[in-house]
Amino acid sequence: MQGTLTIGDPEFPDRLRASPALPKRIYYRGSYNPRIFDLCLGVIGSRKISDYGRRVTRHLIPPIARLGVTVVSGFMNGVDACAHQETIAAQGKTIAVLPCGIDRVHPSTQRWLHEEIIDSGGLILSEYPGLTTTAPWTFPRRNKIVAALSDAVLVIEASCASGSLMTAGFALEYGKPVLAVPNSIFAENSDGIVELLKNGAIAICSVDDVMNVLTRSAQILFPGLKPLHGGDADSDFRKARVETVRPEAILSTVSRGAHALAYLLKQEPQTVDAASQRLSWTTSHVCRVLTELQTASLIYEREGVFYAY
Amino acid sequence: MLIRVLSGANIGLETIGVDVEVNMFSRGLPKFHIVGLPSKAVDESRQRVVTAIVNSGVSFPRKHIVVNLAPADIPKEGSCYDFPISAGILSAILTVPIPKDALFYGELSLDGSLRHTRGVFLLAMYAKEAGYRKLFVPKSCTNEAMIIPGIEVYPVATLVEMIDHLKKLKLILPALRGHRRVGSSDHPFVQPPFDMADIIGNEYAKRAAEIVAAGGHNLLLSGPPGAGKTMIARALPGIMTELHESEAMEVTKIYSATGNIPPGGSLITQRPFRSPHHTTSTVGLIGGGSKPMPGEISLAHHGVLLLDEFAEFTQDALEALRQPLEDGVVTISRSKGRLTFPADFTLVASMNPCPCGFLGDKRRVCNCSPFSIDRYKRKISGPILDRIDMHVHVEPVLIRVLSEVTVTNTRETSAHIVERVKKAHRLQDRRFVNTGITWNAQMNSKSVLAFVRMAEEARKELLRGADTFELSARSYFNVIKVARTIADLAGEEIIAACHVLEALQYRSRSNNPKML
Repeated sequence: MQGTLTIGDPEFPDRLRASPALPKRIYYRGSYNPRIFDLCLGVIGSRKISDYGRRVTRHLIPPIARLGVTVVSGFMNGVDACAHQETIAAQGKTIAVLPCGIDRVHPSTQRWLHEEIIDSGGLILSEYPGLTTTAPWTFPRRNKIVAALSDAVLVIEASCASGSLMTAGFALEYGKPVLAVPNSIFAENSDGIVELLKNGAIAICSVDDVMNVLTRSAQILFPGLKPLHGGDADSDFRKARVETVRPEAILSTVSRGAHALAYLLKQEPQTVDAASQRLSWTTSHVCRVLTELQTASLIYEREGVFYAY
Repeated sequence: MLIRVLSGANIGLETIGVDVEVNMFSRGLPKFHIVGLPSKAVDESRQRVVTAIVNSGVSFPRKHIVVNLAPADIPKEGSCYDFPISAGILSAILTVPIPKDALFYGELSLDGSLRHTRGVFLLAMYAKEAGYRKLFVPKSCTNEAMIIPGIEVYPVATLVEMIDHLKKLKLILPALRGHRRVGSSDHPFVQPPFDMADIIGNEYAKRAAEIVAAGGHNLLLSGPPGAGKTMIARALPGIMTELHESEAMEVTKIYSATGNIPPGGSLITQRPFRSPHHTTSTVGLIGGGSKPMPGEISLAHHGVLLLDEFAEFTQDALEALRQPLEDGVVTISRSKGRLTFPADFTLVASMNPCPCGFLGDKRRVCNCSPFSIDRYKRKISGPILDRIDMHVHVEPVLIRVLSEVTVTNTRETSAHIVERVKKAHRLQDRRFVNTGITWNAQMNSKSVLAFVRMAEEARKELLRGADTFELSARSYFNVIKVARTIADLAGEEIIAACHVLEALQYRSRSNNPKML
């Protein structure tokens, strides 16, 4: 499904009427339902996502998405893609705003994600028709739309000279709260976060932190907002929290030795060799236990390094 | 006067009989012709033959000589006809008969001595099949020809010796059997420069190398520069078992045909280990050329082909590996003919995880852009990755660990590991008796079902793993094969859950774009 909406259409998202600088015509792919804009969280960050960033996204986004919050992002590599992906995995709704024509996929390596967003009932938006290519000025305009669509913007990892800070700037312009996830001051892509926090962004440490800001912001911006799914937003939120699986519960299903390794991974990511040295196990045994933990979805692997969820 | 001398021609790995007919006329002007589709090397043989005969103290007759290489419609290559042609001419000059039932083969030097010539082993095999009893070959090729029992090998050092033999002044004696050198020092492969005990840390990759040696699985080592990938790959020959008798024959045949058996060399009993540079062309790797010749993959037959810096090979060369990896043979079709070469090798590849090499390294920061990482990874296509049974990440060893090492260590030596590998091989030999399979890695999906016994618990773990890791059908069977080898190393006939759990960690990891 695809189509075009202009500012004259009643279906045209109200959020894009906020400023004359925003597009008057928007193209979309996916099934268009204005309810998708009810409560939106912009999630933005570095193209080069670190393992910390991935962990944060995996930790924060699924419970928020399960609540019915729409996750808006810019379809770039890294944090953007991870946020879209985590939302889909949690069966939430996501909106991707493209910096290129609606018939193009940028970056083209993420064609699979493009399809998944549409299949999951999400929306692809762009202010550019057809096969318009990206240009240096299409990215800031895309960022402007992301900021305008969101009730709050959450920044996960950003360097000082990044598009993420630009999006945060637009959010401030539109009166949306800016949230930032703290990171080590030594880490790559943390100087932008530090900058945001110094300038008064809200530090985010948990799902509750996000939800508090988001619901308040949405109520201020749209006083007539109905509670999600006809229920009380707060209790819905609690329910979603309970539904997220507690690793401790699954841990009881794996062998006893696995606890030691799971504990070790929680403290610090490990390779097979490092874990075998720390625990004085043979690498064969480490492999066996790692497989057990992986099939129980307690840990994941990237480039030979194992991380706890 | 017509003299007929018997010889042979090697085409690829096949040998056909060639009759060298020498006719000497007293009519007409002195001339020397070679007919029967000679190549440049065969045509130039005239100059070598004349000079060698003259330098052996026999005056060359001023007569009209025609040499025909029959069958005349098959192109003749190489320098191996020098000796049969000169033997025929000598027989005509000296009017002495050529020994019956004998094949002549070899290249001449201008001084009349016989040079080391490629392909003698193939000729010996042909002599045995076709029922010839005697073989006159250059002296340096004697050991090579002697591998085949039941034929008399006459080592010829110079044409003078041959003249004396023909004149029955001093006979050349057939070489004595019973001193066949096995695993001799003049082997075409260098000894592994490292023992497994020399490698500090990297226990995970060493374990993987042991499984490769035991089951013949293909292995991909990835990791940052300096992690020790190449070191482990180079130590691999040290933990491999020797070739079986029939395997040794096949390998020797390929090495003889390509001129890779050194003078005095005999049967190759050590598993081949080849590591071509990444600039090697597709033809160099796979085999081919206008006159098809075996490439590196055939030279690694029954052994290991190490492709270091895997991603730096040309895309063409890598994709061309697909079919041989699956079939164990490579068929090359050219305008001049179609030849099949055996290429049943174990592929060991090594590469960095990204262009800068430090992706996933805990201490160094990777500064590659997502695009360049993606482009780098896509150099190795999914079908190739899927055909590599085992993917192992090699992590650099901490300097602190390296510096603490003392000379007297407790690490396992290659000699110790090879004992376990041999045990695993014995189990496999017993399992695959009369099936044409030697290694677990060679099983196809049908033989996996026929030969692999698995405990119920193991099957459950396998299904869970296949589900979690989204295994393709091929990598599913590869995990079973690797689990089979792990069980063989443990000396167990039934695969248990622990073997499957370990095998799943070595599974092939495709370039899943969803792993953001």
